[in-house]
Amino acid sequence: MERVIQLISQVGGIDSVGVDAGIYEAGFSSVRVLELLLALEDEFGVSIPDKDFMAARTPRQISGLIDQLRERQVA
Amino acid sequence: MTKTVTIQLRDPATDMTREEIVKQVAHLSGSLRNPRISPDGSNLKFDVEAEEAENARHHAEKLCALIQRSLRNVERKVVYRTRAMSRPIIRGTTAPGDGVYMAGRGQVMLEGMPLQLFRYLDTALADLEKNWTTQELLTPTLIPADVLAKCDYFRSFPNTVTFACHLEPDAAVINRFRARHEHKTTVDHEALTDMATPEACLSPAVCYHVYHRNQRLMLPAEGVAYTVRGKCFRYESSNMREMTRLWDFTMRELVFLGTGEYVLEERERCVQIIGEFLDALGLAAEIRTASDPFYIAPDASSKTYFQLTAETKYELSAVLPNNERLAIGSLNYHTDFFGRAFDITVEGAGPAHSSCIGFGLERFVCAFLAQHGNDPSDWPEEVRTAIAGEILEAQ
Repeated sequence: MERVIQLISQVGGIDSVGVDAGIYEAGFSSVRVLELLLALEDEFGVSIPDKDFMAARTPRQISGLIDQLRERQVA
Repeated sequence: MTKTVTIQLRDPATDMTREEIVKQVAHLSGSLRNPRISPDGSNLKFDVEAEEAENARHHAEKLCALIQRSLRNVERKVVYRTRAMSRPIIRGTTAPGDGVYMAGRGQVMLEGMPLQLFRYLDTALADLEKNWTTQELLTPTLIPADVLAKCDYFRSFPNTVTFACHLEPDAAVINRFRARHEHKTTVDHEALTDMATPEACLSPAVCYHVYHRNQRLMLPAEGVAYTVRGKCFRYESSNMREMTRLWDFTMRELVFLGTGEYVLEERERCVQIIGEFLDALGLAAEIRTASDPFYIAPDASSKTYFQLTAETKYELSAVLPNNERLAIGSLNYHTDFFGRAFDITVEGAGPAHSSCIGFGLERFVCAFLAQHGNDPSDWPEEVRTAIAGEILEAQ
């Protein structure tokens, strides 16, 4: 979760973001959100389906999604 | 000194990522030239001033990764193929010739036969639009900067914006500018500091005026359709060449506002009607899905930011010499993005959805002349007769 929040702050150029704060409300533009998606896929070594990524709107949800995808990879 | 930069792509470039990368990479540096992707799609090469090479490489790597990720799930689909596609004939070129003069980078002048052809195509497209009950809107060439901001343009495509600048209305600034330019043949480098903050831009698309016009309105449940025609401006850096990629061009658009079902149904009707029109012109062309990377909120209601499916954008892709293609128009579906941005609603149905069908008239002329050549005796009878009639009338 901590690393997800770091990446969101870094890519979005925002000081901090709460675990349940909506990242889109924080003003992510179309290019920035793609940058975040790429950064997350590179960092965690997963391929995140577009639809799942769009449904995950907070650091907690994104983190949960990545955990699920990694578990699936291991299984 | 120029250096060639090579970038290994993460995955082999597809047909769609190939054209998008080549188009967008040109914006990274003013000295960047000749971007090309290897035939196997594994790498991108471009030439750039040596001192800018590392910076350009860094940004190009990032851009390629974004484009490839953005379009990962989007596949090319052809929804209409003209009869001439089975054996395209190329009799002409895209190079400026009789009646086509380049006035400056990305700026073209037409006269004589190409101008007659431009008028014919414009009128014929306006006739096609009579398949719908439409309202006509005459629009300015300028567009207020705050309207473009609502369209998310400054966040998504700032590199293509042309700002409408003027001097500060201040006698000292104006006199200084005048004095500096007494013996100059162009605008000097200091000029920018004399300019006021732009309150308007040159409009990059004519449909934006339609959304602005309908701001804060509630539309009837059956929806509305507009026809609009005007000049558009998109700065394309080193990509600008001949008539195939202009900075300043003319666009005719058909715009639908209403429920999602309505605007999508009308767009589908357009595919068939436009396809038959391309067949009547004898053009080798396809209507096919096109990329719209960094697309602004295809589903604004759920705040999604990239092209989910191939259905968002279709392009009218005409065949050019050397197996090249030229998009001479596009059919776009924006979901409710503009409805939400401009607070346009549909009676009993919430935020308005929109679709627009745009034709680039100079590109249409360019594709027609590239395929049919300059000799009207090789043209389809209908076009030849209409243009001959116009020439006789002019005499």
